[in-house]
Amino acid sequence: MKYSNELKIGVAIALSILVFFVGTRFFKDLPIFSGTYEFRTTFADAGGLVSGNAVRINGVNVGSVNEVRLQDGQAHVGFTVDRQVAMTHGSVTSIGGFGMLGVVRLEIQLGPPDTTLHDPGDFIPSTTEEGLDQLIETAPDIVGRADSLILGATATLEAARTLMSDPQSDLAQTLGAIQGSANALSTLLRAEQDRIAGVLEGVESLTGNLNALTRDSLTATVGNVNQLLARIDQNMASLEATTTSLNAILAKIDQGEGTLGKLVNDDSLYTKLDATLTNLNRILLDFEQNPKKYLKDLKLVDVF
Amino acid sequence: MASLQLRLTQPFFSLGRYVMLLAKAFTSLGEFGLYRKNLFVQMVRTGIDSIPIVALAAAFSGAVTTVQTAYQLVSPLIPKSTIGAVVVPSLIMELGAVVTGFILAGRVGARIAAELGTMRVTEQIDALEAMGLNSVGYLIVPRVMAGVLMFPVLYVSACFVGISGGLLAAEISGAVAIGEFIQGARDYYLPFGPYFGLIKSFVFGFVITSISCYMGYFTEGGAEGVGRSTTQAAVISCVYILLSDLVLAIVLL
Repeated sequence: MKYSNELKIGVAIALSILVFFVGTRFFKDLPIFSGTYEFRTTFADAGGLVSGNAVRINGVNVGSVNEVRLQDGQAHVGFTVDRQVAMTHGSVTSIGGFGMLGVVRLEIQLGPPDTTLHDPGDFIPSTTEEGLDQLIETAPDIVGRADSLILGATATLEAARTLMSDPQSDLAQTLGAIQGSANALSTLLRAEQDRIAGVLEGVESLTGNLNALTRDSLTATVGNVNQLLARIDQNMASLEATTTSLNAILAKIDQGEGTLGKLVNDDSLYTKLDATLTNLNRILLDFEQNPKKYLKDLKLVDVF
Repeated sequence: MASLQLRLTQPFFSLGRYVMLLAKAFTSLGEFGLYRKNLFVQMVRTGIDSIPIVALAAAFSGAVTTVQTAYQLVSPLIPKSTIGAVVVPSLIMELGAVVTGFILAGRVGARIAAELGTMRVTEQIDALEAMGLNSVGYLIVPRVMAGVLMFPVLYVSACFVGISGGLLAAEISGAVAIGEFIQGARDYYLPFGPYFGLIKSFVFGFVITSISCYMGYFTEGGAEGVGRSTTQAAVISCVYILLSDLVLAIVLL
């Protein structure tokens, strides 16, 4: 069967109109045949919202933004919402999405479900959330501070490594001296092992004799105590010797001999640390004044 | 000297003749009832018969755009849905109208110029005038109207088939899931896009058919002249499509 020209053209035009209508609604994310209703809201900061952006409730697309215009210092936004969505009173709008990548959305937080519904064309209030854009604005500052911190830490670690690796440095000498002290203490303990053991033995025999005291004569006990006192006297003598050698060590420290002595008497370590901190302060100051010098090659996000 | 003068005045002469032809066509609209049958014949030849080639070109444009955009998206920071956000608006706003325009410039423009040119050199147009028919109203008005009316239909089918082709290519090549593709297209959808494309298609339809009619109607010099008019109709239509595309983009966006 041959179709007339009129029929062909009519079908083509009708189909085109249908495809155009359905297609635009499809990409606007509107329900293709069921109705929608419009609402209005205002924002102090629209965050890059443009007409065509999605409207979401709990992460579900329910409509799209119709118009965004500036009036009286406020961004007036008109948007459509699927008729199936119950826009209860108490609903609030906010800007969501990731503005830097251009995906901005209008988020709606629905009011309590038992309240009355908004009429089409109603004004829905908006809330301002701490947007990602604000975070992005402060980010360079934070990065700058983190960078200066890292620089300072690096310098400190560098200095510490130099101190550690240099055998002549105060720190290395201090550590060496501490080790020496520990060795000396160990030697001392080994040397006095017998005496310590003797003391313990004496204490043991003391308890034994104390037991005997309750049984035997007081005289014998007194004799034992006398013996014990004699041993204690011996121990006191050795303790005296230890004290004498400690005195000698302290005297050396006082005279500035050895690392501990230098640490106590010589303020060069303090002076060096002070100078380092002054330098660090200067770098931080410079960084605050000329952050570009340090951030020259620093880009926040290298996307394109 | 005379040849220089001719060269300098030729463009203005052509422009004046073109505008006068259009003015005559416009005044002939009153007798449109007489040539209604002609309009439907032209609409079928210009519009319906062009749908297969336009659809083919659009499908391949969509598929190629999708595959190449996917190839270019190497950064892990850019979501795959960006492919949809690139392909759909470029088809709706640019490729759908311009690719269709180029094909019609070759297919329809050349046909119109050859038809009218042959009628001119074989003196059929003079015969029409001698019979008391308004040749402009009879030959040019239906063709230009057919172009203006049918080009939007072709544009819509080009967009539909182009986006389908893009989706198919995305699915087959596995570059991006269909849902993600559509999500990206929706996120970056501008409501004005399709209307901008429609405006373009009206303008292109008018540009192609009116220039081709002008070229054919004023053909001179036998078979050779017909060939020259045909070539010029296609080439100049393409040039003016690009020019009007840019002007529309600057004025309307």
